Amino acid sequence: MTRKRTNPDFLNGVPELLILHLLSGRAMYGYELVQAIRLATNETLEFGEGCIYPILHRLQADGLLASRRETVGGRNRVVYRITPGGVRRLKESVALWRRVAGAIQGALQGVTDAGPAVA
Amino acid sequence: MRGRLWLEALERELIQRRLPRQEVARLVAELSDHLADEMDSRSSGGPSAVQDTASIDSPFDLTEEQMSMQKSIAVRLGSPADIAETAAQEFRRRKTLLSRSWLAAFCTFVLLPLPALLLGWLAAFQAARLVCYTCEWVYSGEGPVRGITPLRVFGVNVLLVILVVAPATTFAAIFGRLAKKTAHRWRWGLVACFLVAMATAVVTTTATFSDTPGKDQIHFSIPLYGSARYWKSLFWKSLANPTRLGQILLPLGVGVLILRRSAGGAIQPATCQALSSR
Repeated sequence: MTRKRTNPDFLNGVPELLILHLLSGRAMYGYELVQAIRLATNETLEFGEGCIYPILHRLQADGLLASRRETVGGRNRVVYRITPGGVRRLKESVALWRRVAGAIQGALQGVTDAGPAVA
Repeated sequence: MRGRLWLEALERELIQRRLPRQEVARLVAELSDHLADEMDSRSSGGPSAVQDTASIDSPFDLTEEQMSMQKSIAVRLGSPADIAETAAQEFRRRKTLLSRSWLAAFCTFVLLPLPALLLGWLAAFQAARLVCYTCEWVYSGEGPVRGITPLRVFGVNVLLVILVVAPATTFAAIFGRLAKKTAHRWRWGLVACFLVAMATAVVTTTATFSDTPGKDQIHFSIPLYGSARYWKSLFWKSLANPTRLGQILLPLGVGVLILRRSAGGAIQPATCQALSSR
């Protein structure tokens, strides 16, 4: 079986951030959420779709998500929705992400403008 | 690889990693739904056709094209080993019972602080008593009988304040730290720190000095009950007395400081083995 390339360290925290963000818009079931991630990221992120479920279960255990079996499209599915705790965590995560992204952007900009500090 | 075989391989991998049976069943069920959705989406252009995974996997119905499609689906979902590894990591990362149970949080942050603080004070005073006895024994028979000097009175009073405040501050820090690790951090942590601070404020300590060695006395008291008027008067007295005010503010301040410091660590590392960027 073909194994996908992995880079867990570089993208730590990204799945959690994306899941919380997308579920803050509306409740979704797993498959729907995976498609939403693909669409939202313009398929820039490649991931084994099955990995989303353990993360969803952990977020639920931590009280950030709630789930319920519902009938959607004629089939019984586990639908996930964000909790007030999840909304709070999302706000914190977004603020931190923006800070980190801004800092990296600034650093890259500095290198581009002034050239590398070390030859 | 057909869907059912893939799911069986995943189940084996999950069991090998000693995940609870309930968690294994839930993951397999959800991934089975996911497979069915993907098959529906590919075969009919949308997840409308209801088709369970058993029918998908029927070896007699599969054409070569369908088998190739299912193989690509399995690749898209990730290898069973990768998913099982992620599941095991995520399961280990789940917060303790304290994060999930309101009752556990109530017992820990509302019922536990005061008994824990009492034990802390008991230990602190016993340790101080041990030190005093040791000093008495070491210096017995040496020099003249001690007098009640202002320095001695001041030193003992400072020691008493330290004996009251140090355990309280330590416990406020412990409960703040504990609350930081749970999803209920501010609410419960603040309650615990407030209880510790209030208990510290109502503690009364007095020292009675004697010229005779070994006859000094220390009184430590906590009012356990009283009228509303009594508590009200005690509260206002505490605010007017700088030492008592310090006894309230120090544990409360340390607890709040620890709780505030937790606000920065919002993004938790969420390892997804099969996640990568192009």
